[in-house]
Amino acid sequence: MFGYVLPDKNYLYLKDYALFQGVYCGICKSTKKQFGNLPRLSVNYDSVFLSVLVHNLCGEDYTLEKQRCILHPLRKRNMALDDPLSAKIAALNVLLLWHKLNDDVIDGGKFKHRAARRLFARARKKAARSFPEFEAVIAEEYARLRALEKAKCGEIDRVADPFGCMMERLCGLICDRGGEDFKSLCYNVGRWIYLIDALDDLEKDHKSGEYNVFLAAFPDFSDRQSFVEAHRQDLEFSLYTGVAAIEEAAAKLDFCFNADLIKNVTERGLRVRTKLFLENHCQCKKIRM
Amino acid sequence: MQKNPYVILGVDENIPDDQLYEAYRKKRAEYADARFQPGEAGAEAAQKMEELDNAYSDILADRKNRGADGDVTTVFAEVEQMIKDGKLNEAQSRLDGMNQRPAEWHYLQSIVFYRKNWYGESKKQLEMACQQAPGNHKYSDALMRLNNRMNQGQNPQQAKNNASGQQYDPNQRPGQNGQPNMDPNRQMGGCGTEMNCCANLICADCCCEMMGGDLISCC
Repeated sequence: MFGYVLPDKNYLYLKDYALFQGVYCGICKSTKKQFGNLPRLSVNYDSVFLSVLVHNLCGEDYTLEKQRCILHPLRKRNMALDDPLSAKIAALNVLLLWHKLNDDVIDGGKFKHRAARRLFARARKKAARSFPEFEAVIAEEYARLRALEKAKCGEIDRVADPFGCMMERLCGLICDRGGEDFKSLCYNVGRWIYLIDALDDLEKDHKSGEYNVFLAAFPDFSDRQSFVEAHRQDLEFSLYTGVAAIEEAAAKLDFCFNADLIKNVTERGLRVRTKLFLENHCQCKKIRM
Repeated sequence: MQKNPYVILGVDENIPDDQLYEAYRKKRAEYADARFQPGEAGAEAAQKMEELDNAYSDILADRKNRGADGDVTTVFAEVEQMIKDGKLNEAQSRLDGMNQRPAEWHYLQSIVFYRKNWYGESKKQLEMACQQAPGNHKYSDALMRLNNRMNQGQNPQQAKNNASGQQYDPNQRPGQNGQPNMDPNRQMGGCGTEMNCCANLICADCCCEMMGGDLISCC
């Protein structure tokens, strides 16, 4: 979960913009309530989409309320009140972040990563105690991913599989409705996030010599631009087929409310983001809503 | 030219294994003594015997292969049924167990990959199927559909609009040329530039708020 799943702002209703922000704040608040202030850093945009998705499928609406928040001290802000689903999402964020940091430590093990992991250790412990099933799934899939990365596997689909399965299983644990379409949606979101992150990290991974699935699949990297141009067809195929599957699955699902926000993300946001990463050859990391 | 091993042994193709062995033994016995004869006759008999040995072992190897796969078409039908029932793992292990890999095998494997959402691998298998059976429309159509899948869920016009990227093209107004450029049911259908304005206002509002002021008091 790295914060790539965003709506296309140019086509976003104002009500959905408010909702998006409110949900973000709600998750942040829930994190604070459960784990304290520091783990609030784990909140990201992907989890907002996930939250809206599961709320919708489970038929639980948000209650937006104006509240104060330490990060925005001047005015009260709209935020979604805490509910069991948001609490689960917040715990999920903490666990995912810890495991990502853990993965970094195992990969490179720089002091920076160790320190960061240390900071979240307590929150992770608590989250794992509350939701041991999440912890088990994440640990298992990360182990599978690590094994593939260690073997320098160059099959894009195979390497992205653990992340997709992780999302699919986690979403299944949070919300058991929606059937096959929901599963397919979650799998493909997870897959897409993994791949877009790999695309984003191309240059960095090339420099540091770390594993990157695209570098393993196509070892002829010189610079980002020519690499993307040379393999544009393959890259587009891997990413856009996933987006198409997400779109298709989302269209089949019945949403109770806020369908506009989900539609915006699945039909526009992901495509725009993919396009941006394939076009833009500069640093893409700084994404703001 | 290689002769059919069944013809060499002088038996029918559907002969059971034990009878086949009998036939092979009998034929061999015919030449067994002759090969020690001097001159031409002996050499010819020895050559015949070698031919018989080769034919027999060929048949055995062939039957063993086929025994593992059963009848290929029925296996394919079974795998197809498994895929339809959603038993992907079973289908995969069945495919893995097959020795012969004709075009249909690659086709089925590509469907399994597709159902697992492994689109890249699926495409590779389909391409292999197309290569092995270039004239087969089932395979080439499937490959075309898979390639087109990237743009699925949108009509071409919208795909083009989206392809213009994150930046909304200000010159392209809705309804221009008498042709609406968006489905009105879609979000924000028919109001694009206005939206930019709203976004800008919100940005401005955020900036003001950061400095302690307020531009839009209601949000």
